[in-house]
Amino acid sequence: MITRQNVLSTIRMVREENLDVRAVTLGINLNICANPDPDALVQAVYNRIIDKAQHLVRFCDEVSAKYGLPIVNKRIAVSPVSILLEGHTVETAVKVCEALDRAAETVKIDLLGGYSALVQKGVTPGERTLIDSLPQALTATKRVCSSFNVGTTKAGINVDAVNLIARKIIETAKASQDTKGFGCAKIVVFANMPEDNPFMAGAMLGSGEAECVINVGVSGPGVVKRAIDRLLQESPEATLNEIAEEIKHTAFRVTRTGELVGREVANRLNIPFGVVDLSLAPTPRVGDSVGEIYQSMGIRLIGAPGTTAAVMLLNDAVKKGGAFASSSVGGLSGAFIPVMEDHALSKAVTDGTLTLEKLEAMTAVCSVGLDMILLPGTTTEETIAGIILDEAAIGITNRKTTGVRVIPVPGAKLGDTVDFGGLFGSGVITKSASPEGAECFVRRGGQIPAPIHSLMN
Amino acid sequence: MQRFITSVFIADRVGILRDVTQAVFALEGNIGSIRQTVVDGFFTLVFTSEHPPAISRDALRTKMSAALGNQSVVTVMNCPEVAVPVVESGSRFVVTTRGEDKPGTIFAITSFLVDHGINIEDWLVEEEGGQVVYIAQIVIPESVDFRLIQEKFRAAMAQRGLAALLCHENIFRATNEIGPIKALL
Repeated sequence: MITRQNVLSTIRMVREENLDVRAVTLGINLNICANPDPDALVQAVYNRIIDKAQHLVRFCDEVSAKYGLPIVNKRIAVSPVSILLEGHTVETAVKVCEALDRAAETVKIDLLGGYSALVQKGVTPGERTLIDSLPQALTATKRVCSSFNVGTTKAGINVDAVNLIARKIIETAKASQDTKGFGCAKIVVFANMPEDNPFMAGAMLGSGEAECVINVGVSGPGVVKRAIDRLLQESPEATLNEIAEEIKHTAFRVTRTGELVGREVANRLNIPFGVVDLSLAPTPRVGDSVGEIYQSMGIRLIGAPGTTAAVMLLNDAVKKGGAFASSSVGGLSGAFIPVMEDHALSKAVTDGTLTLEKLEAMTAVCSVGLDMILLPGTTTEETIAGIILDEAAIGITNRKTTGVRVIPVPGAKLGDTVDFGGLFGSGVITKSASPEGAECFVRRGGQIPAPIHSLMN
Repeated sequence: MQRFITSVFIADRVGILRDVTQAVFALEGNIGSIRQTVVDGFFTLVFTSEHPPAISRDALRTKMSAALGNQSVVTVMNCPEVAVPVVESGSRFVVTTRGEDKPGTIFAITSFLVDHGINIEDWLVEEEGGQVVYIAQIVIPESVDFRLIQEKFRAAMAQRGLAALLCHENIFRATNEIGPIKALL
């Protein structure tokens, strides 16, 4: 029997605490589209997406209305496009990217991920073609996102690939200088990249996945913050383990809404349901911020000593609650700290309390990576390669996913403000305490060997 | 065996349910469904019970009234074995409205639902933050477009200054129960 408290608490989560399903992402395997004829390939890619995704938005809207729960983003993740580009040219790669963009527009989704390559041990000609096409492809399209896996715990880090991608990030920034380097906001470089991530820009459908699948990313920073605030209002002296318990219970409920919505959309599309990604995904709205959660927990200045522990506590509790709520948990399932997309984090960077180095430390525990960080236009490819290497090293050593999404904004200097609008938010240009000085190390290239996992310290 | 449905209404005190069940047991009855609550100090109870053929409706009512005293109101009716569904086939939704406590609000809500062939199965009320929240569990017939109802209901309630929601019950079950989500679909 549903009690009045059941009803009121659920409605409060939706109406007052910004509970929503952040992303319902349809995974589509494109491998069947492979064709040596460029035109046939491009047409097959477009047709395949239209065929599989034509009802996605309608079904999501119906399910959203049925449960009174907003589904903020409906998206598509395709299998790595690099596989389709073997034997093709950069020109064809750009045409494929444009076909993806057109298809995304036709089925009314805002972002499509999977213009991707897995290059942790080596780069094939098709993968090289995709990487080389980035500046042109991401400037010519609006909706397509690109991601790369440059390292795994088993393989180590492909430094040659890191250098190549870092160069293309700089070139993409220059190619999209009219939009302040926005092309780079659609590129993520991962270590230990998950195959079932529903969140952009890193979503793609891995080779171990089904032909088509629905994965869901839950949201809930506002719900978690309000739960902590209520606890502290009732018990101002609450301990951190009491706060963790409150977060765990809240995460349980948030996760269940995600699975309910995801399963129903999957049923309507007659395809399998994949996973719920437990990441707390912020938006630039006040009341929908991960940074505000840390502040509620007692971190007055984000970036102060203790912040990393707060990140760890938050995400561990979210995972514990989510893992009990659902047996289908996957994706990134970590704290997103996308600086531009979270007003509290963005302010902390502007105020100087949160630095690139502290953000990096936070990624060593539960955070997914350095995400949506604005860099000066003078940033070199070696600096970007160094940032990627550091993040990848944290990931492969800790057997976790880490990623880098940085935007070197052409012509911008330290302290300048850049606004991409919408979910991408705004922020201030920041930099590492010592942005240069590791060029010689980075340029050596090669492969950083896989880390040993005994003798740990 | 024969089946009765009984309602009891009496000022609340300790021991009412014990007295009721004692009376039923004395007439060799077995209680089936039962629902009890207290509204503003008044105990209300509805239950079904099965008795041997020799026990009549009047016998049960007389026994109950004797057990509860003359301030009680007891009604006993025959109850069919299988309840005829009010709505042939439908889905369970939850309606909530929130706003100022004004005369005529419940009438407006129920009138809207009746006009659209929607049956109310349960009705709760709660005060929260100085506002009254009405919560109704309803069954919407399969033949009805719930999204259309949803929009019309919101608009109709907004005209009365009420914030309204109409959602499938599974969202409330999912967030409050611990069974597998798959079982809800």
